[in-house]
Amino acid sequence: MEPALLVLFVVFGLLIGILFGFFGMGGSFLVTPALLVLGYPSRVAVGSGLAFVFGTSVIGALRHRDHGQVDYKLAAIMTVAMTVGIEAGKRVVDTLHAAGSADLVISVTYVGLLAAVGLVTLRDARSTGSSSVDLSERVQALEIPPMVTLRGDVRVSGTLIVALGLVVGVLSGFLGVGGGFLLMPAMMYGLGVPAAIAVGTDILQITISGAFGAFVYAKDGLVALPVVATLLLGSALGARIGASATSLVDDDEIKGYFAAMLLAGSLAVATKRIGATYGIEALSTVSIALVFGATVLVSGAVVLAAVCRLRNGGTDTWCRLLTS
Amino acid sequence: MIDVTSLPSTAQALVLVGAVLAESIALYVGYGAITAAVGESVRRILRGE
Repeated sequence: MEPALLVLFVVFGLLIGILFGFFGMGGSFLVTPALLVLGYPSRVAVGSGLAFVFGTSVIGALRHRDHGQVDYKLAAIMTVAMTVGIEAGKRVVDTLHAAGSADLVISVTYVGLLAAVGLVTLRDARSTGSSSVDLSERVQALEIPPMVTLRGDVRVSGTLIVALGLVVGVLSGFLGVGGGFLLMPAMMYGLGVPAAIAVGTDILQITISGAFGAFVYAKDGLVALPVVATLLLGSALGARIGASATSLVDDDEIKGYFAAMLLAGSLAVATKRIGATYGIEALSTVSIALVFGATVLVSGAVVLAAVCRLRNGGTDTWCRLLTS
Repeated sequence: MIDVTSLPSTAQALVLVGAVLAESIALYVGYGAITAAVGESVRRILRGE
């Protein structure tokens, strides 16, 4: 591997690691397009993306465990329910594929979901009275046995957790993504799990699904190990920084950055799809620029917010800019 | 030394996943040791002390 490419992979890994450690999402969502741009075959890009997500999530999960931000009971229930849901989601894709409309339906659903979750999260981050608290309180009030007690003194129906895992699993299998961007808000808004614990639990769940995905692709020789190993050099440090930042930055600030990532992702997928439909090559470049631009900006904002918090709010221009 | 390429594909895949896991844990421990050694100094610098 050329030295310039090696440095690029380490730096890119560092930025993704910060986002992953902080949000519990964004691994394959960012790595796979990057590898495609660099000319790797699509299946190798997906396989290497999954192996990278697995490695980074191991580090993120260990770090969150150190901070006491993982709920193993919730992760176990979610993993089982999501595995069943993913299988069902794949069957929906197969049916749509046979009808010849899979690509369009998946793209439109992906854009709609990213935008919807992004807008709901943004609204919640900006509002003082929270409607999401009402929703999770209503969910917690439903006494459907067996009742389960989660970290953060959250008591909720185990049946509802399974149902939520099934729905997220179906969407995840349908869209062909890890599900981090769905699982984290589902736990936060649906079950009322505190944001930091939702991130930690989400990362543990991604570790398990990432390991399985990497194994499946590796069986067909579709994982570029040197690429994964180099990206991990950066992301291991980044995941540490990102996970540490979750205990410094407020829940509402986390939600604001999360919303920004989702909205940028939604716009990127929509731009790419329009470009592909109408044969406009420039839109594909715009889409890639959106993904990479959002990565640099949001990971920079996360680090800056944590540094400002360390300085007790910080009064310099950058900190004021961040809180204005 | 074991020639990994001579193993069945399932075993090769397990070796690869194991290698990624081993690297991740090694990096976690390695960066953890560095953080323990210099982390507090970096925090002090960031706090402007």
